[in-house]
Amino acid sequence: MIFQLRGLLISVRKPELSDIEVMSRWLSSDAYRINLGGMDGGGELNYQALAFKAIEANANDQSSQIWYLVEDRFSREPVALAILSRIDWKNRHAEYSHIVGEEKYRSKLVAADMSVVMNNYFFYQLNLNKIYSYIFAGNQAAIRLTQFGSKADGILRQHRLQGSKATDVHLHCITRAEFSEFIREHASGLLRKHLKYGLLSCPGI
Amino acid sequence: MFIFDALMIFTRRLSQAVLIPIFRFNTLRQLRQYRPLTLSKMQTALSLGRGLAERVFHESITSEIKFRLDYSWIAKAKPKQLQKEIEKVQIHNREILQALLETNRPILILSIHMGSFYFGFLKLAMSVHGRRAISVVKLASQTKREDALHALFEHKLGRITTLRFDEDVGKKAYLALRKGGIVVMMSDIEVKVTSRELVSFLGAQCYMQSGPAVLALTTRAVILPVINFEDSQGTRIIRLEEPLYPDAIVPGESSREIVSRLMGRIAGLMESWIRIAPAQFQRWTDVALTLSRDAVSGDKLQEIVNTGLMKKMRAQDLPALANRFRDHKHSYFLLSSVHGFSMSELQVSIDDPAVFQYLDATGEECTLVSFMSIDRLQGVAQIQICGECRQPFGIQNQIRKFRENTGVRRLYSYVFPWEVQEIQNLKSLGFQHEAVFREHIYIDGKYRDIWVFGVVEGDA
Repeated sequence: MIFQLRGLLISVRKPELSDIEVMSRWLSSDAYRINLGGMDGGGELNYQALAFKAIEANANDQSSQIWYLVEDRFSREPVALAILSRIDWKNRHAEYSHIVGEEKYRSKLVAADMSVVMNNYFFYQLNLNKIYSYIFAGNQAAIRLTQFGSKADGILRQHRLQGSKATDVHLHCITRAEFSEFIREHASGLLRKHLKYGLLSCPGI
Repeated sequence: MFIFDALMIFTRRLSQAVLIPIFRFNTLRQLRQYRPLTLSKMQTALSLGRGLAERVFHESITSEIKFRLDYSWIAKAKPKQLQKEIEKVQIHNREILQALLETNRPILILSIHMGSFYFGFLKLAMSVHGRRAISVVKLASQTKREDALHALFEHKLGRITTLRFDEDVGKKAYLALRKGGIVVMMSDIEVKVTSRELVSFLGAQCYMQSGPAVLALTTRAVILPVINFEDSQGTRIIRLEEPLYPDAIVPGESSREIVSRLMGRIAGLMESWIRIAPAQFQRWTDVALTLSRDAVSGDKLQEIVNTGLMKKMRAQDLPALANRFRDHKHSYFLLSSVHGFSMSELQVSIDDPAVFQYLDATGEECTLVSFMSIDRLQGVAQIQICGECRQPFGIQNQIRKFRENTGVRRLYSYVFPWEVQEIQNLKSLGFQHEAVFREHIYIDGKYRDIWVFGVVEGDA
């Protein structure tokens, strides 16, 4: 079965070998290196190899991470990567991070749409209970995404290096119950179209 | 002539049949104190049962004895006999060496104590055509027999120089490579080396001597990894692997990063070789000793352990510890999900570099302190403190020394909200409550929170 998710602005699929070029371009961009690369201890030097590893991880059932490629729903142009990592099936939680690789899409609510669609998938398809994210202190765009249901649960002081400077890392998380509550709260407003087109599958709504 | 050859072969086989059991018995007797440790590390590294590990251990010793007997035989053999034996050795991927020779770059041929190194090496030396000088780093102690052997090499092959394994061996190898020559050496993980690099090897973090990578970097030599082994028919095989280049792969890659990258690759290759033929690898005891050493900073750590009212946690303390913290709601046991550890927290701690027990004045254990998940690159590490903190000054001192030795600037700790004693300990040591992992662990039908405490440089 081909995996595909739909949002209002985006559609999500698993990356293919033909996407390696675009993925490695995003992974070598400043946006990734500054905001995500430091998380894994400095990032990978060979970005093509990293992209290839991502596709390999998707093919491995035992892998604790899954990579998703997000496309513009209308033009089919790849725009972003969503990464679910450190998946703990026993305690049903995982870490989520994303990168909007194409700069022109960064101010077009792609990340917000992605956040809603992916959370819906994680909670109601993968049956996870909690999704958390680590966000570097300077990444205001990601911090603003708390408007879409997640909560700031604290700051890990000087937890990671950005270049040579130690920076704080914000811990954001959203639970399944909180996401359901978020959908209920915005069913008639922000998420009206998502519900109208059947893009969300929250039970009881 | 034919009868003479047959007689020689018969004598050699007979001597092997008689000598191998005697030498093996003697070696096993010498290694008896390391045997349990070696077997246990082999079992873990190769996922073997006890019986199979014993068999591999015995065969590994036999392989080393054969290597030594080959060595004696080569020294005494007549050129024609030697030539015949060398011709039987098969080289796999010979074209890699030919391509490298055309580049005119110095070549560092690297192998490990596996199979019959000398036959493989001689075969390789004979296939190097041209005027390149070949230097071989002497492997054993300085004995007359070995000198005779190397003199024989020089006599037979002309271009081979012997580099004695003394204090200046690095310098000599450096000079040989600087002249564009070929240097052959064996590398193993070592228990006591000063120039070393932390690598991932056989499922553990351990130190490996970084000499070959440094030599390659300083002389711009290409590292050519080779493996010697015997296949199931007893044919000696020397296989050349893809060469490793000490050149920066991205602009600005530092020398340190290059050495680290090369050592990572070398360690990976060695691991794959050992997995191909574990019974032919001759240094299992060294590997076991190295894998059982602390991964932080061996000697410095020992220094820390020797000061104050503390002792290093040992595997035999495990039952008492398990009894003490048997409550499954104790954070010491239930943090696996936070780090993504697949094994129990206790196992991680025992294998981890720094777990200390603090003793009170009566000698009774009062606090357990563990440093874990040490990320030197980022300068962060986790600390778990369990039990009543009767020695806050001692623990503070311990943290200070740990930071000095590892360069860690931030320490963090995870506790459950109900662990009042542990929270009190952390606060008394200057830790601040930083964050909450809400609903992070599933215990007794409920998702439970985990609190994160942290301390950074500059905190009071």
